[in-house]
Amino acid sequence: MLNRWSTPLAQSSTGAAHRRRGQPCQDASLVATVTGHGSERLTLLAVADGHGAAAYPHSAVGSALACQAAVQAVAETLAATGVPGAGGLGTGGLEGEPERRQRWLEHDLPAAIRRHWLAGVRHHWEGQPGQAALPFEPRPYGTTLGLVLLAPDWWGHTGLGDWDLVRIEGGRAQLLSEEARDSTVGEATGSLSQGEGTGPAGFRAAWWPLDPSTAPFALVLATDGIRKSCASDGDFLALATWLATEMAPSALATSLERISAEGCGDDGSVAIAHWGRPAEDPPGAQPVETPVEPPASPASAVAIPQASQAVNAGWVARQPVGGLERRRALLLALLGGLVVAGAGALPALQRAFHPASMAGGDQELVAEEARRLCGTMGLANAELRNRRSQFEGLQAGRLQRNTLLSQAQQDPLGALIAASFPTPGMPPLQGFPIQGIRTCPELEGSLRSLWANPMPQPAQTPAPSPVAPRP
Amino acid sequence: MAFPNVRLASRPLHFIYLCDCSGSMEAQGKIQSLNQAIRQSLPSMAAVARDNPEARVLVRALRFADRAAWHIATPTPVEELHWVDLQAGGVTALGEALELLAAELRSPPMEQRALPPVLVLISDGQPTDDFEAGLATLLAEPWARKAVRLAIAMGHDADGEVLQRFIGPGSGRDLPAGEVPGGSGEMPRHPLGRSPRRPLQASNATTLARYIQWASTAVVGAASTSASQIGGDFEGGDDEGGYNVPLPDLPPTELDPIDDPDPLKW
Repeated sequence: MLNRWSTPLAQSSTGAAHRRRGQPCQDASLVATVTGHGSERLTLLAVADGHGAAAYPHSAVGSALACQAAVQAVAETLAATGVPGAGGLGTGGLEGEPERRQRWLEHDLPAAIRRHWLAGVRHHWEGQPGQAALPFEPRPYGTTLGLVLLAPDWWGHTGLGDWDLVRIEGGRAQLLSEEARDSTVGEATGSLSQGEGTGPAGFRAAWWPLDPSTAPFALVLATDGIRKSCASDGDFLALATWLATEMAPSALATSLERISAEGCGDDGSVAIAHWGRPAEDPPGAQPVETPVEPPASPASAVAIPQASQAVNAGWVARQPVGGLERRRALLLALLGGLVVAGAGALPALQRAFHPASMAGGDQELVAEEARRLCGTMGLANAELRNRRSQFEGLQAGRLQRNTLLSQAQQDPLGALIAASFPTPGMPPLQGFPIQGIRTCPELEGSLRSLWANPMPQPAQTPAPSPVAPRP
Repeated sequence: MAFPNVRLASRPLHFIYLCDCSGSMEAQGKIQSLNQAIRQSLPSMAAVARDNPEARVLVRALRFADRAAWHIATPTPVEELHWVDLQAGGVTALGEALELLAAELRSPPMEQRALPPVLVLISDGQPTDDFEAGLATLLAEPWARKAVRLAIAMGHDADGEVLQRFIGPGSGRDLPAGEVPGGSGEMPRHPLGRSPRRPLQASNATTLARYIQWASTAVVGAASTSASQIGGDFEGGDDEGGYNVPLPDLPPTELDPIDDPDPLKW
């Protein structure tokens, strides 16, 4: 099948705070294509974020080795058995193929990555003056790893830690994979250095089939420094959309520097890939055709990148993506199915909420909040999405509607969300309890969509049309 | 194409004082000393904030006496903060204060992308309401468990056990009082008997001012530095109320030779 992936790119940038303190970049990123027997070929996009705390002094090395371990692990698989669906061994139609691929992404590949990573960091550890006599400890090399794999007839992701993966298609951006919220309060994250043996605990993986009819889309894989630099998740999705669809590839490095300087100051890494270029794209755009032979198997052959840890250490095929800057602007990133209102246009307030017992002043606050949201639906959808915990809390019973309603002065948006919480037995919005408050069709549609499907965990129910994990 | 119109922003760092305003704070000028110490610390705190532009230091204050209430309810940028003096009178509704604090540490209103907050409890007495319930409510919030929790005891009537429970049991890496430094073969991070993982004993206005200054500068500086780490690696462990911000060394106090003696003892 024709490979419709365009040449991906990746970049890491030292964070503004790290520059000011004279600290190295602890991020790493990489794009590589690994070829196996025959026509088997997989392209990898990897980003890794070495832990910044003082307990991880070698995390810059650890993150670079994580990216390289991913290449080694994929190459090892291709050399041994082939990757299901990578071009040579079936294309997804063989019996058991989806299950094999899912298992490979969830278990076998993570285990191989961790094995190669441990071998690499051990090699580095033993090369440090005075440390050879000490027991090996991988924790000082702690890092996250996010990995996207591109094949002609499928793509998937695996990895662990607080990286984010966004898919942009048809003007909509969707967060496909993020670390579970409970573990990301504060600065905690998953790490390749965790766990005994070489188990794949903590990896999150999914894959999607591709065929010639698959609509064009882009993928943005980023370390947490990008999302934490954005004021809201809506801003992050909008930024990811811009990075993938409008930014000139040559501007990626300066863009990352700006994001860090105006944001959280952390290192930042981004890897971008496109499937199915639009017809208006210039002829310069080429599919990935940069086969790179897999590295020698022994971990000792791994070359540690230079101090910048930027990109392309070793086997990277980083080429500008032609024509990206000419792409048409995509609309502001929104949740699936949500509609972007015209900027500045105030949709007619036309739907009344249903009666409820709410103080007049509070009621007016909620009404004002509804008017504000209706006037800026682009941002409103992002704000609503930021309230994931309230949507989920109300549905799960962890939050009480009356409590949120009573706190309208402190949190009018929370009160509005509570007001829209579907009454049991009634469709969403039919049970709105606040009398006299009117909303607009756009806001109503957004709330209805969120109540119908309040931000599912992307990795568990990826869209569109993911291949379900094995039963 | 030009950079998009997205909102990039530094990460909020919430710094919250919990101030005992019970009647006993009126004695020996304690409430005045507390007001003075906090007011005097603000310029230095603002300077630390300027030096760490990736963090947006936002200050609030809770007072508790007969009831608990927000003294500064709005998260206020430190450079815009004008301290209004606290007044003493009443009992010690610490439990209610912790309940109020817990409500603000929920997400939302806490931002998912915030830095671990810094909570500084200052008290000279014992709680008169349901401290246990308040503490349980507080520690049910993930942001509270991840917060840097400090406590300053003003005088020797403060309930050290209560303050220690607010902080958490500590990391175990600090030597217990009385243990000889180096006796375990491990260097203590902080000098013997003095650890930020224990209530800080302020026996006079000078010591109080130093601790307040330390919390509002050195600790804020440490908390402003975003440094990811492995879940479960927090000092003391998450479940034990451990920190995910490495705390700086404590300032010298009257126990140290360089400290000036202060005639006013609480």
